[in-house]
Amino acid sequence: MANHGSPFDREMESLLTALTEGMLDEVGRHRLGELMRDEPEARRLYLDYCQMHALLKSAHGVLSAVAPKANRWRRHLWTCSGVAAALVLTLTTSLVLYLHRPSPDYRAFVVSTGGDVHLTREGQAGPAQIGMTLNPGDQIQTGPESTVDLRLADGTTMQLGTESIVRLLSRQDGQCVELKAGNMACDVKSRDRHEPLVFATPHAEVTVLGTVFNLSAAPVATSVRVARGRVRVAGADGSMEVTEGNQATVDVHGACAWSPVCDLDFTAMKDLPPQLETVFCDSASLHTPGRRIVPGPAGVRLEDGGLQFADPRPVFGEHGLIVSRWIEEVPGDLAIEVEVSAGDRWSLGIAVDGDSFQGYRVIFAAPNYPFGITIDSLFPSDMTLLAQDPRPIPYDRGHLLRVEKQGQRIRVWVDREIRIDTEVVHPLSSDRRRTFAISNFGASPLIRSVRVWKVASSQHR
Amino acid sequence: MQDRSKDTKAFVELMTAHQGRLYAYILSLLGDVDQANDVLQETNVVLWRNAGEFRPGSSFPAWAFRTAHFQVMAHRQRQLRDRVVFDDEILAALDPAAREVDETYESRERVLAECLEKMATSHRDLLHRRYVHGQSLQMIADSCRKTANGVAQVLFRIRRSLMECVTRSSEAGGT
Repeated sequence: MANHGSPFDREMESLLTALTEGMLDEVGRHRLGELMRDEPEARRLYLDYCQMHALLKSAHGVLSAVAPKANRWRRHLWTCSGVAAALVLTLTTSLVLYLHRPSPDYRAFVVSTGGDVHLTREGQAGPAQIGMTLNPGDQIQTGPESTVDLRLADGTTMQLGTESIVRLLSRQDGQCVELKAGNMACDVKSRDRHEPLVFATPHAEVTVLGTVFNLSAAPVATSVRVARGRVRVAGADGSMEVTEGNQATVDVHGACAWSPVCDLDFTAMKDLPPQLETVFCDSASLHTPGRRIVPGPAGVRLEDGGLQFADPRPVFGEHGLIVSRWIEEVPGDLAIEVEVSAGDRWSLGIAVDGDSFQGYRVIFAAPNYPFGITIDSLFPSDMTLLAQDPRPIPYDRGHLLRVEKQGQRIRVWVDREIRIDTEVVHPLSSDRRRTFAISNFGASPLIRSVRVWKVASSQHR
Repeated sequence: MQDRSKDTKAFVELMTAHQGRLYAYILSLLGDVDQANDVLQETNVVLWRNAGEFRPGSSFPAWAFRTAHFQVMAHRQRQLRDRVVFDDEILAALDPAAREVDETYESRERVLAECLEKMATSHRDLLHRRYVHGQSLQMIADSCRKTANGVAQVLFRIRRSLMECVTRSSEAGGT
């Protein structure tokens, strides 16, 4: 190499600096070309320099390891000068081992795409294609009809749902995947406990050492559902561990862990579970204190692909309310998710803190009542309207309906979009059956599944 | 199904492990960091699409570099003439030289951490901000009361000093 400070050296410094910073102009490009053709030494320096730039671009792990930690250790050694030499030796050995471990790779690959998926890099957006690499800082976004599968270098897979935005980050504490909005299903390969994978949302951070889970970030809340393993969820007011089969939600009120009450997958069911009791009440007595509730097992039927409420008139000879209620007592604070298929015009009631006669009913897509979502109660006798959201629910696609009750707060989502968030003060009967239920309200949708969770622990303020 | 998943995983690992080398090679031939990023992505897309053609046990870098070379050539044809840094004659000379330098990549990568550890803390911090956090020259300059050009010069010297260190260390290691 030429002596540092020589004219050649200064010229190469100027050209290579401009090259790596993306500022090489036409004159510079021409001059660099001349040097490459005429000066073997310039060519060697150029090639080595390109290689060093590439090495540093790929060295996130090494750079993270040496930047902040070395400072801390050095300060520590200064302040603890009296500590025995053995400790220094141990620290040095650890440092050497740490620095020579394989450098973690924080990139991801686009494994498959469905529909239009966009990649934003350094402010420039373009289509994401299969095989592309995502580097820390890159953001990927799906649309209303598109999805994308990503794979990290260690084999971890992430499936982004529709209307989701994810950004890869390289932080001082390791790799981070920021879910800005939407939802993703993740299968995280086992990791060293010192290098966990962190998923960040607007409300929480989920720390993962290796597990399978679903993460959803809506504007008002984050939810994580663990299928295998365990994760640690941290919100603004502390953290909690979420284990297999459970879920947690985090919002401005704090974090809440949920454990399952039941998981009814009607698409795979031949017979209804014995805990699900179906009853019928005719319209004439429904709004009176002496309402006539009779057993009505014929009011629901399992069909290919799910459960449906029958048309009451042919089955019971008159109009009325068909209710499928859980006969086991469950706490009033719970979350219910119902998955419905696309179909003709339908509506559906979900009752919490009591069945459809005694608890709070959330009616989805009932025409003119008002049309979107309504919360009401039939207790003590007549319908009492408690809250409503008039935005319609389209019938031409399936939906995930969620109702959550904690204390007096009831929240209602459609496809992870919150529609109602309200406090209900309407009193219920003290001797009601604590349970949940689903009910008809006109034509029935095809119900694919019903999943219910009760509060396991709550840090809500 | 399981075999396919296993093959996919192995292929992703190979692609991941060679991203730095591919980028260095492509950048060497193009002389433009933005174009090199684009062509690396195009190369990845082609590699992924043609993954079935790769025979496990054969040389992945040879196959990947061949693909990258064709992508570089295709990219040059699409570029306006004044955006191409090197003419065909120079490119013909650079290609074998870049592959020769690539043979040192892994040995230099192994000693990079050791060389970084020998550097001044402020220099390591600067590299961290630039390469890990992706901060712009101006952002770094604003925070340390320097000009963007001044920061760029310091970065050049850091890279050059690291180049000398990794060359020395990897050669001393017998690689």
